[in-house]
Amino acid sequence: MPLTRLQYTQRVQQNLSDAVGVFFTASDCNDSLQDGYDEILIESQCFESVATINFSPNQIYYDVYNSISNFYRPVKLFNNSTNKWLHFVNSRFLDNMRFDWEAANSSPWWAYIINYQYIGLFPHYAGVGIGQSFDLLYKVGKDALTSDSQLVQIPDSFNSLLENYATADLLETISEFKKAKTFWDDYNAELGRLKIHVNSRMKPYSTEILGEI
Amino acid sequence: MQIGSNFVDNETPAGLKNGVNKIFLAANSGLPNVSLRLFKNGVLQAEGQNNDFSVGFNLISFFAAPVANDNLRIFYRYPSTYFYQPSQFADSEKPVVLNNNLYTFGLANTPLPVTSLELYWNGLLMNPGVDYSLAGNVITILTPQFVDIPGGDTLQAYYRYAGICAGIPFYSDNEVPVGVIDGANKAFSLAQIPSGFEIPLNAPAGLSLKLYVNGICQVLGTDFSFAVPNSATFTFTTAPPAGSIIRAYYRYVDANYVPLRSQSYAKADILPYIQRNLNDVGAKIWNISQLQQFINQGEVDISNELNSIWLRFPLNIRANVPVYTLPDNVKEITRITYRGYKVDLLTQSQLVQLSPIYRSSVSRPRWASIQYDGYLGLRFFPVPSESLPILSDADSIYTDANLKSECVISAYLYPTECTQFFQLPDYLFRRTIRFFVLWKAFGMEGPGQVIDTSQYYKSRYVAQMAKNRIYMVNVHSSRVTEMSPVPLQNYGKKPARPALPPNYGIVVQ
Repeated sequence: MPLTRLQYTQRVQQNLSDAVGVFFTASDCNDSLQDGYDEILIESQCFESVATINFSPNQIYYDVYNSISNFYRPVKLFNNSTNKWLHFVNSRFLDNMRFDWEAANSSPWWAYIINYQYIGLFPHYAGVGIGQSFDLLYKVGKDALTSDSQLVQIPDSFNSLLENYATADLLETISEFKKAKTFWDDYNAELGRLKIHVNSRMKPYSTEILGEI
Repeated sequence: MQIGSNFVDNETPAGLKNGVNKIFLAANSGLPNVSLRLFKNGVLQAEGQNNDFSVGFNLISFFAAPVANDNLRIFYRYPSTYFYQPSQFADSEKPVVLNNNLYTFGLANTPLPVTSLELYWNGLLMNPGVDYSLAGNVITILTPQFVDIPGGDTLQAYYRYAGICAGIPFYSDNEVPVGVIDGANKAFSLAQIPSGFEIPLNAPAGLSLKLYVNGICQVLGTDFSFAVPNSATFTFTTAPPAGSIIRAYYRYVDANYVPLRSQSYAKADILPYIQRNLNDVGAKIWNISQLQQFINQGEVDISNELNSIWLRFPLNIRANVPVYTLPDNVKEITRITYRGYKVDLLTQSQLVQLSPIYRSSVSRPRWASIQYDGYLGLRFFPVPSESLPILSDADSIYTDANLKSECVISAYLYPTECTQFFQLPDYLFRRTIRFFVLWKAFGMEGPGQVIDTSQYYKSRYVAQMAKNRIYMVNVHSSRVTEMSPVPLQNYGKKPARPALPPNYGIVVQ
């Protein structure tokens, strides 16, 4: 079962032999846990989600980063109006298709990832009806830990990951770099295993396919 | 190039007021030139030869030495390293006479909003609607009996006009403070709390307020004061006489302003976090302005590497004008759309090969170049044959509402140092900024200097930036290189065995 922030705090304080929070306050611990959580989420991309966004008339570029509070990167985009998946392409592809692709109106077929914030659609709707929307499957980049009872969305078997990050991070703040290195080494090794786990989890038949070949 | 602005408000220039000394100093050695507004006893002074004073760097030279009782106040902007310009500023502009009519004047730009115009007649603020009217960029004097330009009267205009994006900071212009003007009442209130706002981040409230009574700028602390700090209520030392015209201009922080997620972290909020990591919570070793400087530098460095700010802005196209100056903070153009069509960026060499007369050919632009016309000069080929004014705002620019009637630039931009919010993805900015600040803080001369620790955090910063670059590349990892879903259908299957035609091997007679 995933641990709460409080449970992580207690583990970190034990690692630091500071169970009552004399040297490191709860605020110190929370900062380190949040930094570690941010890094683990974005490195491993283990937390996925889906959001529904309404089409806006004449809108070419959608600010998905500000529309979805925990958005990191898009994975798939489904047009609920046409029941079609949209392909993510680059601007060169769109320019080759039409010099004026930004001006083209119709049902969207392609999407263009501009940066972490914007996605452009080609073509785009000139007018939209009520409830016309697209589903965006995405990777989560930020999950703010706002209370001690909040669960940290890291797979169970990798609970020590965040604990090691926060411990190392706090040791760094008091210039205990050698002690911190022990925890950093553990953290990096564990993070590598989590990344492999997340990737292999998405390919349950890969072994079977390789066996066939 | 002129880049960016920080605001300085209500500063008293340093110098001896003894009727002899004519040299005074502004605190910041960057700009104060055209943006400088110098008030002597509430009256705006004119800069230049045969006027009231001259200015160079931060030296203010009066032509007549101020005496001990003179009250001197200056308001100005000075450059920061980078600036995400929410508005452009026109400073100390002399309106030009139009059509030989001595009571009709033109401004170089149209004030936006119109209330941002501060028009001074011989240093006294004029009252819009009473003393003058404004239509577009044309000023008509409504009190011609007072204004005598040939006789030596001066007009000076300060205003804001269209920038490349809406947003912070917020301004209140030409506001009428609420309060009874009866010669007895001294207490008045404003709609918002005037702030010092940008730099320093914890500047006392009220500094940005310019308060005029009958056109004369009042002095904070002498002529009026705030009864409660950080409030919108102020009190005059002497009650304004009945019939007085009171006006206020100031900047403020809108409490209802909900920043976008990419701007949701205030730079001031990260300070305690940085101080905890420095083990300097009470700012005993590193003062706040030093840390603010490092935080700003860190943001600029990170943003510069990661291209974190991308936006679209309209370009004001004018017929037969080939070269346009881009905003100061444009880093890299990603697309130019002219009336819906893409304009390709070429080098000057390529343009020469394209057409030997490319600099003079007039038509609809198909190509453009940013070489050899100044660092920010954008040259179109062919030269635009029509004018395309700016139609879109910061929201509609992302739609096709005006796409076929406008020229739109999409570009990566440099961040600004003087806004109060970060402009970086929130999932990476905090720890990256921390490594940068710790590297710089431990490295600087002073009681906190520890070179080994500084180098340690430098290596952490470099490593973190390498990761950040990968994060930003991964954003694009869902992009497909083939358009057909066929590869997915065949995924994991062996290539089909060639099937021979049924008549294979049969000899045709």
